[in-house]
Amino acid sequence: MEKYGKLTISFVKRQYYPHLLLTLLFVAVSGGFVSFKGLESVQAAKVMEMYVAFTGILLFTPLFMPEQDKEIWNLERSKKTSMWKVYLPRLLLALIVCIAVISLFLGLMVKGGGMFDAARLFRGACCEIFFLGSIGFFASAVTNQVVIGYMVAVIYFAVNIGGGKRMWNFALFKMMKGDYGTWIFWLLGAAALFVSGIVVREKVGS
Amino acid sequence: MFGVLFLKECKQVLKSLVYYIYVVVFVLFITSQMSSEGFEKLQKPQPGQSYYGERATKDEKPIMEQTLAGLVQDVYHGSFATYPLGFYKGVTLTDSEKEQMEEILERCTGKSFETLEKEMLLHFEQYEQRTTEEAMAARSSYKVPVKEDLTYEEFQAAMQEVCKIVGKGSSYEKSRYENQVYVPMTYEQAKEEFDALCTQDRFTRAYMRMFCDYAGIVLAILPIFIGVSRALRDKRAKVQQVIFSKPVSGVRIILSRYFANLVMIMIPVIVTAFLLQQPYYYKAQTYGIQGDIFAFFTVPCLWLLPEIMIVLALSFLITEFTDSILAVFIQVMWGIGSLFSGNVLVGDFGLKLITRWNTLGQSGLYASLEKSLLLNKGYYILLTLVCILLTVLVYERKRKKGETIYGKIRKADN
Amino acid sequence: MDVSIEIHGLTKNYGKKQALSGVDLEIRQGMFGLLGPNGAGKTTLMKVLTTLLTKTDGEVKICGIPVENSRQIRNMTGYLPQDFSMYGNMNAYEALDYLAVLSGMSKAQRKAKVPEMLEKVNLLEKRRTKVRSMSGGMKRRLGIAQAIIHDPKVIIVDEPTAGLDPEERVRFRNLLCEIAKDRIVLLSTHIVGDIEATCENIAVLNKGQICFNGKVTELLSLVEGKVYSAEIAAVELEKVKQKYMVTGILTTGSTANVKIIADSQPFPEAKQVQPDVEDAYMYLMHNK
Repeated sequence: MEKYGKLTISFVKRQYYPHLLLTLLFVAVSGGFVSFKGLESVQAAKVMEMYVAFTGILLFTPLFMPEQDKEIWNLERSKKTSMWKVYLPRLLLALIVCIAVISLFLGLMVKGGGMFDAARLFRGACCEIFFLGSIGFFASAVTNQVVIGYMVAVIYFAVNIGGGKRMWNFALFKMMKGDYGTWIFWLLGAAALFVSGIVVREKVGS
Repeated sequence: MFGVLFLKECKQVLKSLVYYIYVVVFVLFITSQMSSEGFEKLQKPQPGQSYYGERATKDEKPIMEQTLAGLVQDVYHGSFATYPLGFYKGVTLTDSEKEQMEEILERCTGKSFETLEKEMLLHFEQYEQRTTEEAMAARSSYKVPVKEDLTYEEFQAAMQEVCKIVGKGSSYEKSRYENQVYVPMTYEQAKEEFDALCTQDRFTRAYMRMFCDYAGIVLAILPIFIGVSRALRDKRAKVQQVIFSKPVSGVRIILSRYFANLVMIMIPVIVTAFLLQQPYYYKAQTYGIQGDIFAFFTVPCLWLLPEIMIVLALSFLITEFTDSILAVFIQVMWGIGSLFSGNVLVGDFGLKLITRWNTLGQSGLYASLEKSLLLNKGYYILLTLVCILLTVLVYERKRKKGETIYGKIRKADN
Repeated sequence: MDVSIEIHGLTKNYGKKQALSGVDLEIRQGMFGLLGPNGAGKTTLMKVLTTLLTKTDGEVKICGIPVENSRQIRNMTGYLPQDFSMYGNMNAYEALDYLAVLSGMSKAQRKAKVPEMLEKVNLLEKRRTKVRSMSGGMKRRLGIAQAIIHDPKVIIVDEPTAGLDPEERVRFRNLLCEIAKDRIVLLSTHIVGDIEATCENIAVLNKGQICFNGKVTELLSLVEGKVYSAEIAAVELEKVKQKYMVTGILTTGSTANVKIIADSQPFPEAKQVQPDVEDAYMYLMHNK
């Protein structure tokens, strides 16, 4: 257990901390972009889906960053520890930070006297934001290029702004249209993409 | 030598996955948006039609009436959409602020808020708002008549008070309400518009302007990734040291990379523009309108090229400076922010990154706004030059002072 | 033009840390070896020579031209960095051609030179191989090809044999010797064997300072008569190691054959032997 803790700390120190700082900055400047005062459910959902959603992209996409360097990747693969045991703690870390950010925003909106079902929004927001993040995660796993991970996730976000009719139940921004029923699709989608991302990394080249 | 480097860079672009994603996304996006846009504008307006479309107006009376109509609805819902930093920020009113708003409305209309509220609800009851189109029709026909002796100056002062309450970036700012009011056209006006469309814009130019409207949205975002991935490629492939040690100047390296990527980004834009223009060009010919065959090139070069230039240049600069993907976040925020801040879909260029022209036609309005468009584009071309210059400086500095400037300077470890 | 590198009082600081302090060195035509432990300042020195780092103090001239004239210097030097690589999606020919363009060569020159260089480093048959699927040795050879393609007067090679297998290493050293016929090849290494086999002149760098500068024979004379070989019981090994500088151990069963450097005969059984460069290098490092 301690070994994985160490590996994860080293990952944070070497690669991940700028992303955490950026997340922090993102939270810190949110006051300039969104209002937390007396939000109704549509508005609260909008804050989650259109603003907080970026933290998903920010946190989940760069998890394979160290292995972009082929030599590091080969070195790590030559070790006894299976790669998924290296990735999983990173993923957990990102999940925890992401949930913390979502909770923080939710708390601010509740404190601002919001009139919405907080539990329902929390569940939906977590699933949706994980899902968006898992898209970046998966894309960077397949291509071994973090930039492409971001690109695909951002494009998915943008396509959904423009409509997203063809995205079926995986479309984003459902909650601000009053539809809270698709969280299970997001959750399943996120789980599938996270798992296949790790599997892809495990299989490729071996 | 510049030419050789340029061609080699183009070849590099053709080998990168990011580029192909860009091409696919761009083509899919633009074709899905443009496919439904209409030939019906080619029909000459005939006297006796019930509706001739709408156009933007500068008349004070409709501006006041429609702006106040919006205000009544916003006050009724108690929330205002504002875009202070280019991003949506909902503002909800406190009770005392709501009272202030009601007082402002009363001053401008001479009616109590209760009366206005009742009138508004009555108006909307007449419409079945099942589709977006119906809801929009209901909104656009809703007007709030002003008090007889209300002058335009008094109206402007009242709107300033509104802005003070809700903060920056609302639709009650002068630049907004003076640009977003549309009124139905008469036959004469419609004919005038049509003539301008045929003679001034020769149809294809107007069509291409709409193309640029859609293309401009994605082109605020997609080139970021191409720029970032190019600028990071040296680090990723560990070729920095070798290239640094070559006699070639930083100006040549950066410029050849920049222009190669710029040209490669422009190619699919121009090609799609050309292909989309052709059916309209021939269709216009059958109606006896001689289209501008070069519009597919000239219009995107004016509307899109400066936008791509600055997006690409900034991504080069930030990435060379930080050796990270920071540019992705900064620029995606800028792009999306710019998109959301423009709730005027035609005109209102200002210094916005994304210039909108979401209409086929409005040639008269375009003629009057062309100067501000040129200003916008000129500004970004200038900014591009600055960014490129800074990128070269950063590059040359890195060449002499270890590998990175920002953050830790990686020492030459023995 | 006289082929030379002249370094006087060269100092390079990274913040407060001094990587090079007061280095004086003159290098003439031929192979020149720069020896030193990891972290001694070898790469820093080479990066100053290739204008990739600006010096803090001192004077550096290559063929009489101050190193500040970076454009001219880059024209005259070829550099093979420690971890040379190229864009993975280019093949050998494209990579070399690309770097030749950056060296300012014309199309006609490249057309003649690129195949010639590939031939020289034995890559002509592999010219379609992508960089990403090259072995370490192939990459090195490509690296040397790009360093010499514009016919520079000075070639600077950082740790050229690290990561190569023995056969590749020998071939690479021979290639460098061949190239050094009418120019300077400055190579850095912490592998003594590289230097021994190829260089006549060497300098030893330690903690940012030159602690030896001269011919290999001079380096050897430092330890002339000071190297001993003895057969001792394996159990005594620890004791001997603590007391003397041991540069070689060969254990066979219960006895160990040790090589010792000492100013006088350490114990009666010890016999004087011929020193090699490694002994001299160890002696130098430990007397600092």
